Amino acid sequence: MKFPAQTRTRDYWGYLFILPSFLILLVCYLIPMVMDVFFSFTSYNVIQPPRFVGVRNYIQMANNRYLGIALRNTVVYTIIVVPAQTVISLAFAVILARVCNNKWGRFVRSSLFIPVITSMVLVGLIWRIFLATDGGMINYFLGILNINPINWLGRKNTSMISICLVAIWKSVGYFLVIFFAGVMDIPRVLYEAAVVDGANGFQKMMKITLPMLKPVTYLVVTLGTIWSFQVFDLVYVMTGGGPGFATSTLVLNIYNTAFKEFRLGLASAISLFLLLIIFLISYLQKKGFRED
Amino acid sequence: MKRTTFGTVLAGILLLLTLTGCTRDDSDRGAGGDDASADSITIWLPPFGSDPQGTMDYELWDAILSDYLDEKGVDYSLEIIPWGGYAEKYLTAISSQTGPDIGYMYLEMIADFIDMGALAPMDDFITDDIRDRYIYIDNGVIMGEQYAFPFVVGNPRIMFYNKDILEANNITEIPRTWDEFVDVCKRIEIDPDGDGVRDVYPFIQAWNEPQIGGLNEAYYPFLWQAGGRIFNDDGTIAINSEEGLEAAQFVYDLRFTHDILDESVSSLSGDDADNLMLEGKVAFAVLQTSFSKELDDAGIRWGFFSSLENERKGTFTAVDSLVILSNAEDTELAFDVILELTSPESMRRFHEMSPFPPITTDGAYLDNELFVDMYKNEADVFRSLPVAPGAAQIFDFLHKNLQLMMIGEMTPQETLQAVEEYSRTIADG
Repeated sequence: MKFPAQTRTRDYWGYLFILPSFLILLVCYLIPMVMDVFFSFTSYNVIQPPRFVGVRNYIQMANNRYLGIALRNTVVYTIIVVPAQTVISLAFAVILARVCNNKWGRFVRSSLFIPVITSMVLVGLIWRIFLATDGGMINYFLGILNINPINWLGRKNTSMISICLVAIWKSVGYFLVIFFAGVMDIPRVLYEAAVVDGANGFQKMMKITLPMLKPVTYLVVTLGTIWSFQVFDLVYVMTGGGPGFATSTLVLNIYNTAFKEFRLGLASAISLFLLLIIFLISYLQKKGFRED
Repeated sequence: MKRTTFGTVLAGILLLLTLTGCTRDDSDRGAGGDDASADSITIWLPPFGSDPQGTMDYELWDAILSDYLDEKGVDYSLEIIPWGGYAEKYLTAISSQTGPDIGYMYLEMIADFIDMGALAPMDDFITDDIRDRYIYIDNGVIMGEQYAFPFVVGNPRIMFYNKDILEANNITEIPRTWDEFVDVCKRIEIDPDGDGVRDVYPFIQAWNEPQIGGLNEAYYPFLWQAGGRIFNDDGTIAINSEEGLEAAQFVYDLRFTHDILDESVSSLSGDDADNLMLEGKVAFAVLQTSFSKELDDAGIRWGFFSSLENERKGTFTAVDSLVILSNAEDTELAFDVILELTSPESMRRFHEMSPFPPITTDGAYLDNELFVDMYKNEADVFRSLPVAPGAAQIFDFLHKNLQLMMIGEMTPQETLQAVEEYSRTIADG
């Protein structure tokens, strides 16, 4: 099929307009991705030229039990953080939109957004102080309730839970805003019709709010999952992956492999593995939400 | 057809840019060697002053450099590099051609950077006079060449104690051996006011210190005291030995058998442990000698001894050095600047800010007078970390596994076994 010359010219203008964005995409994402694939087949320490080693990095990756620990920790983190932040932010959004949509509600919404705009490093440092075993604010309050001090960041289980709680606290405000916009977009007429039909609050929630929020929920869950798999700064600041490997995550493992062990090739292979995981999860989530 | 052409062009651009990104242009790296002369030089130093931003350090070195380099008509750029992620900053800067001409490195990181070809030897510039004047110059000979110029030598990790706590517990004899230490620590009342909350720590260690240097206080002194070593002469790991195990078991027992180390040590960073000491809550702690100034400022009545003794005495001392990066434009100028930075006058000004022992025969002693005898009579007690390829990675792994041991997730045997296995994977590349 042939298009008139004028249409083809218009097409070129289109390409020209998307060129700046495309160049940014090319330089910041596509080229690094191609380079990552290239480096994953090399032995590379950043300073000396890369040396081709075939699939050795992938074999090392498969045999690396500490990567397995990091993967498990990342999955645990995701399983705790994503559902919790989704449910909490949804609950807050519904309450603020339907029950408390006034100046107090706006105040609460703004307050919950403050952690979102605070630097992750700062958040980590402050929570480290709050969670200190000796003199930490959390243990101080527990002490008032006659509960013995808890070694939050120095035990295997509590250290991961502590990080998850801080992550949830930090991200709820962000997802709340997304859910809030979604709830406000639901036509009021649906609720009015439900009231006429005699539906109670729970039924309205299950039959109207949640189904209407499905696209928003998909976005929240997908973003939350991707960001959870990329968790790094909070862990780096609060525990450094410790005690031992108790809070070591995939991205921290990539960072340590690259910049502490100087094995950029292996780090590239692990980062491709992470990309594959995120891609698979996103695909499965998309499929799941569509089938629903 | 059009779409195919467009795709082909795109793929071509991608490939070209990728290859360009991977190709090292050696012409950018500076000529190096004696022939090249530069009109600017970049110097990176870490912070030693009491302010965390390094302002004191910057002002000190800036004054010294401006006096020297302005006269020569050479521009300079001085940066104070924080300790967090220290080696990573060098790695990324060197790889992106934005590294310094002169840097400051600790021994654990030097071998890897030599291995990568990132450091330039200084042998050509070392004269007999320099060898005579600089006390520790031979410590900078690594892999047969003078890659490092010792700059901060000393600041050993010694055992400090709080006199008030010992007196409150009627302890008059200072422990010398491991057994005596355990006995004394057990006699210290940890909850003097009886409110059920720990007020006193008989001994403190920072097992959540993010830097691998945390082991300089927490494990290596005990390893050396047990008669052990970290590496064999051939560069293989020596830590999984009877002595290494004895040291690990001792630290493990302090935590789990004798309950001398509180559970919270697994969550303490070096700063946290320092703060507890400054609050007067700690009876014994292995700390750097430079910490004595902060103890004085905090009004703590403190005493010290160099090291506990088991098979022998032993504790860590720093041998941190200035290095010339191999991409330095003018290595001769860089070496001249190093001599200026380490001259007795510069060192006097530096040690007034941060007290360390002198590094030259004619240098002034500005460290605490209380340490003079210790430096003079117990020099053989102080040990630095060995230089070996992959050392930093192995130390990091050892650190993490010892952390696991200190939360009861691994036994001392398992810990050292895992480190030995890991060191083999590092050796295999």
